[in-house]
Amino acid sequence: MNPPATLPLGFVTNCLGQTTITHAAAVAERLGFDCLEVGASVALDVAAFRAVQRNSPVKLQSLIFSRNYLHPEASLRQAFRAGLRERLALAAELGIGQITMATGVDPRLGLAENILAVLDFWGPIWEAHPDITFAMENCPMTGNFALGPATWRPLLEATAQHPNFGLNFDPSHLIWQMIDPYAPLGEFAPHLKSVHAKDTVVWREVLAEHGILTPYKLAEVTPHGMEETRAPWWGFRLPNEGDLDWARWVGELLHTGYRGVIMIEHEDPRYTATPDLVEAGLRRSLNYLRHLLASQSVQEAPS
Amino acid sequence: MRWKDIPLVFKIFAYAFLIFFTIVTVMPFMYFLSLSVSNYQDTFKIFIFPRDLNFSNYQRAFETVDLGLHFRNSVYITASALFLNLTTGSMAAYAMARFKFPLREPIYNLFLAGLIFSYEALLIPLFLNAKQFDLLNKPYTLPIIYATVGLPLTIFILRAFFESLPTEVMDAAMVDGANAFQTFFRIALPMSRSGLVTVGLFQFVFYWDDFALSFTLISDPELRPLSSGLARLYGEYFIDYPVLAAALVVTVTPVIIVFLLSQKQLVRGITMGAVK
Repeated sequence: MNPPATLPLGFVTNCLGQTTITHAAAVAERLGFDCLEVGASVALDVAAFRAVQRNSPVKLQSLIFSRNYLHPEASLRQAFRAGLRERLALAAELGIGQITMATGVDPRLGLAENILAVLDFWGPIWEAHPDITFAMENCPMTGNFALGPATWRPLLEATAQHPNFGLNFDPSHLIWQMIDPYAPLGEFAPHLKSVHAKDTVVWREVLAEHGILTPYKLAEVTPHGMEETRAPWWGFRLPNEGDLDWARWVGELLHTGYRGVIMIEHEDPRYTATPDLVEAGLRRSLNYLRHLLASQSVQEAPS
Repeated sequence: MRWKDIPLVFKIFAYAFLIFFTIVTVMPFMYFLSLSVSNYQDTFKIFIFPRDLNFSNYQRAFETVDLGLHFRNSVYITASALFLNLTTGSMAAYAMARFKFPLREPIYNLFLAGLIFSYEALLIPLFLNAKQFDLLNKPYTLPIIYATVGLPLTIFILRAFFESLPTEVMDAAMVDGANAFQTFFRIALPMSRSGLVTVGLFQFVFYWDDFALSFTLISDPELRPLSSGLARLYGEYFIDYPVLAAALVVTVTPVIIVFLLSQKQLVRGITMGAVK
């Protein structure tokens, strides 16, 4: 049985690879998770989703589908948008309350034009689905231009009339971009819809030799099945196994009054080779965060 | 000296001068009129004429802020402030122009002193007073305060008007049995119509355009008129200039229409006031 959780803890299903919702829910239940964020590698079988909602103690908290919806190439753009429409329909049908997304970015346009493009594409979607929360993950790889506080401010100001749009705060992306992962929590607390728990390690000795740039092709296949280019001086880690000070970060998060879910996004390459390793990674993350949350006394009102 | 006797050089100079100032005055209007139908990318590229006609900015302006609501608020606030200001102001001006009573001139001078203060200087005391009187964020806040702030100008102009009316007409009315109120409403007011229009126009433009007072005293977006309601479009981190321009066109159009309709009366009113 789940121990009484102070904040609901879930994980992003992408780390399981191609799978079914039934299997993902079974893993989550066995490991003691409260909820799931269902990614693109889960087959969209409505009947199976319904069965999980009916029978499993694991809540289907959100769907995640981060693609570049403003891609300059029309064919890709259309494909991404079609995928999004499928998930919108699914979320509406099953009453899933959140979609974690990327805004999309057109690299040919400036910041303000990108914001206007977001309003053009997303505005009608946000309005048509007032019951669904849309959380933009600050991930630089999936098609976002708002990667830190300086760009969140204009984006959130321009979208102020859409209260169901906000941020999915993932500290791991901020670390290797050299953006402060702690300070923005307070300022952006009213816009936080959910958070991802993932850590990043920076190998200072590699950085000292390589520098930040990688002008040659350096690709790695991520658990999403997507090819991403990464510099050799940083990597994703399980929570507390990278450079983020988790006690400080979770403390700040709770201090802002955040009482939403924490979604573990497991992309640590040391724990992805076999299904057992993936589960081991999830278990380590869950145990650590449970322990940390219990030590932080959530009940105290923020002063 | 008649126009045809003026040397050609001076005529050319006069025309050049007038044309120059016409351009200087009209250009900003042209700029934001064409900006309101432009794409964002062209914001800083267009000069006077738009590169395309993109009317979606108007649609977006109506979606982003409730322009209809702010427009109704503006009409209500301006109309009721004008009514309050003109009724009280014209009666006060008439009394000070026609009747002799103790302390008439000191009272008049006290009102005139109000012309010296720019109301921006009174912003903070006004806010504190309004707070004490529980006048913040009420639908009647701005009408009352606008009418009051506008009183000195109304009394100043209308008193000069009433003094310029021939006394005989009003004496004749009195002889025919009209009391003071009847003389005022039936004789004096109709005769000074152009004066009322002039004052009304000055006040109308002030009420319609005022930003500082409405922004300071009204923080409830539901009660804000156009001027401060549009402030939402002027963000700290993001400004969609074409949409802002479209909203401004909607705001300014009534002022231009009112001016065009009352131009004749206005010119007459200003000149009559001038020679007294």
